[in-house]
Order: sequence, then C-alpha cells, then structure tokens
Amino acid sequence: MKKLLSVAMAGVLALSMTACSGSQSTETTAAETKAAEETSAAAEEAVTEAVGEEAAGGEYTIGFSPYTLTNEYFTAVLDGVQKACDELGCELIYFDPQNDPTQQASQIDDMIASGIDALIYIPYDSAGAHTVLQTCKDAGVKVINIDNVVTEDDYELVDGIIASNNTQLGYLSGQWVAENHPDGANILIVHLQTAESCIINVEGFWSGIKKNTENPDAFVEVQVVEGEGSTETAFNVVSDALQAHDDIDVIYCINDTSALGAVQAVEEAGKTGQIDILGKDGAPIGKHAIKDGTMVQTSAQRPTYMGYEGVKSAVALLNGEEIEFNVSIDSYSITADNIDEYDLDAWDTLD
Amino acid sequence: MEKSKAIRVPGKGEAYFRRNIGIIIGLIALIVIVSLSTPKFLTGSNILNLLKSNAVNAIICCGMLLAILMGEIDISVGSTVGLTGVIGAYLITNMNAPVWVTVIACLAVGALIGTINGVSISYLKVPAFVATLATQCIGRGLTEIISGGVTIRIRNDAYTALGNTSFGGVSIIVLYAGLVLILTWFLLNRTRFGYYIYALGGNKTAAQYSGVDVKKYNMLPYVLIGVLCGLGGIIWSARLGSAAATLGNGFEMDAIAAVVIGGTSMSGGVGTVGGTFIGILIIGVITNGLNLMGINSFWQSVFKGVIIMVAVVIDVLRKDRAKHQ
Repeated sequence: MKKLLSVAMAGVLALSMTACSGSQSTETTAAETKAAEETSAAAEEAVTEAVGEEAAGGEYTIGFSPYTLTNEYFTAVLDGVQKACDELGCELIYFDPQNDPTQQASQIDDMIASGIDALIYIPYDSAGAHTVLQTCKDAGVKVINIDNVVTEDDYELVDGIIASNNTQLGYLSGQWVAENHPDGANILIVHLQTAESCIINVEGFWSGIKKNTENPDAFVEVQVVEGEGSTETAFNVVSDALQAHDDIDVIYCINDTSALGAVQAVEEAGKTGQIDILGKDGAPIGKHAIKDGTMVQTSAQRPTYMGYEGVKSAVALLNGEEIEFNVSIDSYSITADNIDEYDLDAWDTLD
Repeated sequence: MEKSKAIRVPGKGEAYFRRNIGIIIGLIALIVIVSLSTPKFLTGSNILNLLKSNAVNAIICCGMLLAILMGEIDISVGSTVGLTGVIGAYLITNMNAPVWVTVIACLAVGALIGTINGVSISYLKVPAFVATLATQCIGRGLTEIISGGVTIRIRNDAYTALGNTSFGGVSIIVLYAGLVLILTWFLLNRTRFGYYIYALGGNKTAAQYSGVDVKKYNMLPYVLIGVLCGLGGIIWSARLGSAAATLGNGFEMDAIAAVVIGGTSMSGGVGTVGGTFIGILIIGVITNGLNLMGINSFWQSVFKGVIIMVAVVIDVLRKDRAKHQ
C-alpha cells in the first residue's frame, strides 16, 4: 500500500514539476549535468524519494522505462538497473508505463523534465519509438535501448543497444532436441505469432536442429499452435493438439509461462514422460519445472544482466568513454544436468 | 403477472427443440463438417477433452445468461476469474492457508465483486456496462498487485485435486459445470427468483408495478455471477497448478458469444439454459475442431465473429416477425 501510494505521489509530483523544470532540462547535456542537477535538485529529490530510491548523491541521474513493472521479467531488469545505479552512485528514476506506449512517452517527457542524463529504454512499440528518441536527443539525454530493439531507421537516434540473442535462444533448444532425439522427432510449436522476437526464436530453433543432426528430414513440425504466451491458452491448444496427433515427441514453447500450460496438458492426457517439453526464458517457474522433471530444457534470457549492463554503458558514455554500439547478450541452456548450478527463484545473476 | 407469463419461455421437450431448432441444426452441421475433416474429432477422448475445455466457460455462461436475461451485461467476469484464481494461489502457496479457507475466500471475493456490481447497477443506477467495466479494471489491477506480475506456483495436491480429479474418465470439472447448468436451469424455471429475472428483462416497469422488489432482484444475480466466477478462478488455478495475472483474459467475450449464439436476446427477457448450453458447444466445437484441423487460431476468431453476427441477425429477424404477428 505504501509503495502504491508513493508511486502515485511520484506521478503527481512529476506531473506538477513538468512546468517548472522543463526549460532547464532542454539545456541539459552531459557536460552541464552538474549545473542542471543543482537547479532541479529539490524536485528530483522529491521524485526519487517518492519512488522509494535512496538519493545516492551520485554523479548522474538515470531514467528507466520498461513495458510494465507488473511482469517478473521487467522487474528482473529493474533489479539489474537498480544494482548498477547503486554501485555507480547514480540516482534512478522510473515509472510504470503499464504496457501503454502513450503513457510511456509522457512519462519519459516527465523524466527529461526532471533532469535525467541517460535513459534505459525498452520501447513498448519499437516502431513508434521515433518521437521519444528525438525528444531525448534534443534534450541531450543519452539513450541505451535494451531488450526490444528499435527499428534500424532509428539506430542513429540511440547511443547503444543491448539485447538478447533471439536466434541463439531458439538455437540452444533446437540443439538439445537434435542431440537427444538422434532418430528424429515430431515437434509441436507453441507460438506467439504476433511477437517478432518469438518468430526469430522459432527460426533459431529449427536451425539449431538442422545444424546438429545428420538427418534433418526426420524432424517434422506436426503443428504450430497459438499459445498467446499464456498458461491457460497454451493448456487449451496443446490439449487439442494432443487429440489431433498421438505421435508428438517434443513440444517447443516460446516462453516458460506457456510451457507450464503444455506440462499440464500433457499430464492430463496421461503422456507425462513420453513428451519432452522445452521452454524459453529461464524464468523461476521454468527452472522449477526442470528441477521437478516436467520440463527438459529452457534457454535463459538475462534480464538482470541486461539492465545492469545498460546502466554501465550509459555511465561510460556520460564519462566520455567509447562503448560497443550493438551488444548481443549470450544465452545459456538450462537442463536437468546443470539445473543445480542456478538459483531457482531468481531470473539470472550478474556473473 | 400476466405480462411476465407471456414472455415466459416453455422449457421442456418438444418446445425446447422447436425453440432451439436453428442452433441445433447449426451444431449438428458443424459436428458433421468437423468429423468429415478429421477422424480425431469423434473419439471418446476428444469429446471428453472438448467438454473439459469448455467447462469453465459453461459456468461463466450461466452467470452471463442471468445478466443478459435482465437486459444487462457483466464484462467483469474474466477479471474476477483472474482475481480469485490469483488470490487462491496466493493463499494456498504464500500463506499456507488450508484448502477450505482458500475455497471460501475465493467464492467470497467473487461474491464481493458481484455485490459491488449489483449495488451500483440496481441501487445507484449505473449502466451495467460501465459498472462492470469499472470492476473489471479494479479486478485486473488488484490481480497484478497481488501476483506482483509473477506466476504463482501451487504445490498443494489437495488443492490441485479440485481441478484434476476424474471419475471414470470424466473430469471433475465437467461435473461442476453440469451441476451449475442444472442449478441454473432450476433457478430460472422452478423458483420465484428466476421468474423475476425474466420479468425484469421483459419489462422492468411492469415488474415493479406487479410488486416485485426490482432493486433487490436486479442486484442478487450479480452476486451469483461473482460466486460463479470465484468457482471459475478456483478451477483454473487448481487445474493449471499455477495462476498468473493474465488468467481469465477475454473470458467475458466467449461467455457473451455463447449466450447470444444460444438464442438469448441482448434486450433481455428471452433465453434459456438449454439454448446457452448449445451455444457453449458451438463455440467449443469451433475452437476444438479448428485446432484439430490445424487451422491458425486467428481464423478461429474470424469464424466465431461470423457466427455471433449470424446469431444476432436471427434474433433480430425473429423479433421482427413476432412483432408482425
């Protein structure tokens, strides 16, 4: 309740401040940070305190804008962002855009108004990020685009990109299938066909199979079903698919959440142990399922690391250092063989 | 009471078939088409699977039927299923609550949401669509807050058994749905309460002048809808062994679709449990059949939309004809 209230207060404060600090922040550049910070220090303190951050009194103020903060993936990114800010002595400002690109844009305006030096940005609508990026550039705010990459036309407006390697995430799962089903397999894909990243995952999955087998024709796609990335939808469509095909050996799901639905559907069909279920993300629920033996493999995303690296790059840029423009974060494969090396209740660690 | 008697629908045997003949033919035609396209459809295990997949929808539909019979609507049902499902998972996993406490808590939360809907609609005169839109938003928000955006795992066998037990191959969920359908039929056809629901939808003013406590009987159905959603939340969370904030998304649409396809008039007063049951089966056969045939799920949406459109047009034409007679 307290948290809710403070977030609400932060929102109100930020809104009310837009008017008074707007003119100053347009002049804010990396070099003038100090001056700008001083002039709007009081306002910033109010915001950061309300958001629940400790004012670290550091050099820079970092803004963070994800899709939403009620999804564990994005809160894991926030953990990394927070950790890096603490280590580097930066102040952090963030709001919850609640999966709404228009809210995200206006919140970023508010952050610029309250004097951020750099923005860690996960655009909800990667094709529609142009205006936000232009506003940031005009205001002299450095932008590190993470996770969901902006379109190539907008590359010149961002200062750095850090994202998961979506091909590799799928590839690792495909590789597992090829290695564990040397004689081939009938494969059901539980897709999220509206997400670009998932389409790349599935392409990566097939190339992972084809590059690791001598007999690519033995791997057959029996059906692609739409799981909408949700447990109950995946459960329903997999239940139906199991009725339609009694020869399924492998189910590849584009995230651990839908894999959980596949696990239940297979269990209800009485086929536990006969079908290998693979997920993606390395989410806590996915890792628990591998530990329980209901899932066989998941390719880990590294949201915490991504957030952490995002802030580090931003600070390096602000310090005038060169950074690599486009960083692709390597994934790793989690299976029953190595599950004990990982913390089941966390997404990823920083080492 | 004369007036309400006139809009009262006969519920038995021949009358049932005559009234629902259109959708019964539709359902049979669908079944024939799907069975010819895929031999997997008419198998015992698939029929059980189909019934199981649509059981929760059937339970929600019984609630939706009550709202639509009154000439109103409840679009908060999906959100209430999500909220109660997540509360159930939270209580059982994070608080280690006993199963019976969890079950009662879920039903009570459902009833509470239903009461809020009912009071604002009947006593405060808020239009049903707006009132339930508000509770839908509140419910979704609370669901996100309670779950923290995290999928809550349930590892309590007694709780998951509530959704995963079966008797001779028939899932317990199908039995719940059957029981709810029968009770709803009984409520609408054999009790004064049911009589009043039809009367309210037929002509509220007339009902009021005949001495019906309109406000009370306009409110109570929403409480029942809430309880049914609570049941839906329990069943889904038990069956999946987990609950996420997205649980129940879009359930209201499937429920409205099935009720309307089942011949219930959106303007209230006309509709039966039997018709709704066939509506549920039609939606179920489309989804299951297209899945079995391997047709992309985006097409399922298109098919459902077309069928809803046809059902509504038939309803309008029928009303026109009745007017001319």
